[in-house]
Amino acid sequence: MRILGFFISLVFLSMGVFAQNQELKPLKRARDWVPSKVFLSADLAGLLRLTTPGNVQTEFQGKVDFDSFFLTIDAGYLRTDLDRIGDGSNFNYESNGLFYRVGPQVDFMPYNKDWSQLYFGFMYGWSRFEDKIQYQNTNSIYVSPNEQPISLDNERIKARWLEANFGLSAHIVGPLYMGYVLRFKFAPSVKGAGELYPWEIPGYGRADRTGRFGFNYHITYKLGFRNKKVPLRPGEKPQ
Amino acid sequence: MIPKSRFLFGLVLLSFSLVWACTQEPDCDNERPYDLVSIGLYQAETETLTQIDTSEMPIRWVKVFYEDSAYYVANSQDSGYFNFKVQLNPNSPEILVAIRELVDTTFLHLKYEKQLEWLSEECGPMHRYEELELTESTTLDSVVINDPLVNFQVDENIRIFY
Repeated sequence: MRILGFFISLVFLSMGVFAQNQELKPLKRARDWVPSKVFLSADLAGLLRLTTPGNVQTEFQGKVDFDSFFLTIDAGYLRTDLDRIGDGSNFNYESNGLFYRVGPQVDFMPYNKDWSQLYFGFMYGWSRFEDKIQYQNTNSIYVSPNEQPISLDNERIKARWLEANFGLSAHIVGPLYMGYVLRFKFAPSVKGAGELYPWEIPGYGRADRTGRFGFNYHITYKLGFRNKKVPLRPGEKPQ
Repeated sequence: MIPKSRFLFGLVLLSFSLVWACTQEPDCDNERPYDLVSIGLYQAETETLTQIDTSEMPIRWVKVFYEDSAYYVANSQDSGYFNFKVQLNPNSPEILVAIRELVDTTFLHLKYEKQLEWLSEECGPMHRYEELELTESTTLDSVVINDPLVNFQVDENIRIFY
């Protein structure tokens, strides 16, 4: 009977310790995985380029929130025209195509009352484009000075790459935000190129480089479709 | 207010980046495609690799034929043409090389892969050649592809044994 009493005391004692441990554990923030808003962004430099003649590289972004994470989708368009004939050079290159990126981002400022963000993300990018060149090799004995330039083209090139990005989006006024994103693009792969190797992959940059940095300055519009309160920090009491 | 030391560090980093970027930009005038295939002539039936003695076996000329034209690579007035270089044609995936001896002529039909690759935005593209192969020859059993790559580091692409 004494032994039984000892075991019962031990069980109650351990329950007390367990309860104490529960109290010592840090409080966790309540997660809210249901999307509440969409951020629609445009690249400012790309928008400005649309208003001027010549090369175009413009892109747009949409991202939807899942608690402190985002699913981000980018889409853009590139048109390049390098006209170097008659300027001591000997080629005229044109390229145009669409590109897309998709990937997750994590927000390091989920408690910001204005939904400003400091984020880090990974993306998978892909592109479909075409290019063509008129080119004259002026150093070859086979090519006479009066000869017409050779024409080469790729009608359908596919490219893909990976990307890590880091950015900031700060609330300006109302539903408007502005911010930048710094990108490191790597592991490119090009398929479908013939004799002409492309100069540039839309959304990636110079095609023959294994890694590229990129920078975008975004203007963003927040479109909320559900009233979601800014989450409280662990231990913070609602006001 | 940005501390002075951080500002100076940023300035030095920016300057270094600009200098580094400039050194990456090639000088267009110094760049040209490497499009030469080196061919060496050697004596057959010798244990060691021995170049032919042109006084004993004179070669009258070496020509490359393309379309309706031909160009001389070397002729009898040149000396030491037991090793000569033939330029590849950027407008064609193949060339025909003819080596004229006193009586006979050796023909080499060469094929190669070519790709137009970029040097820079300002310099533009230039051809790169590779995968050189001999598709036909009048003396096929005595011609060897020594190295199918076409670049500065290759001493000799083709060896012909007489």
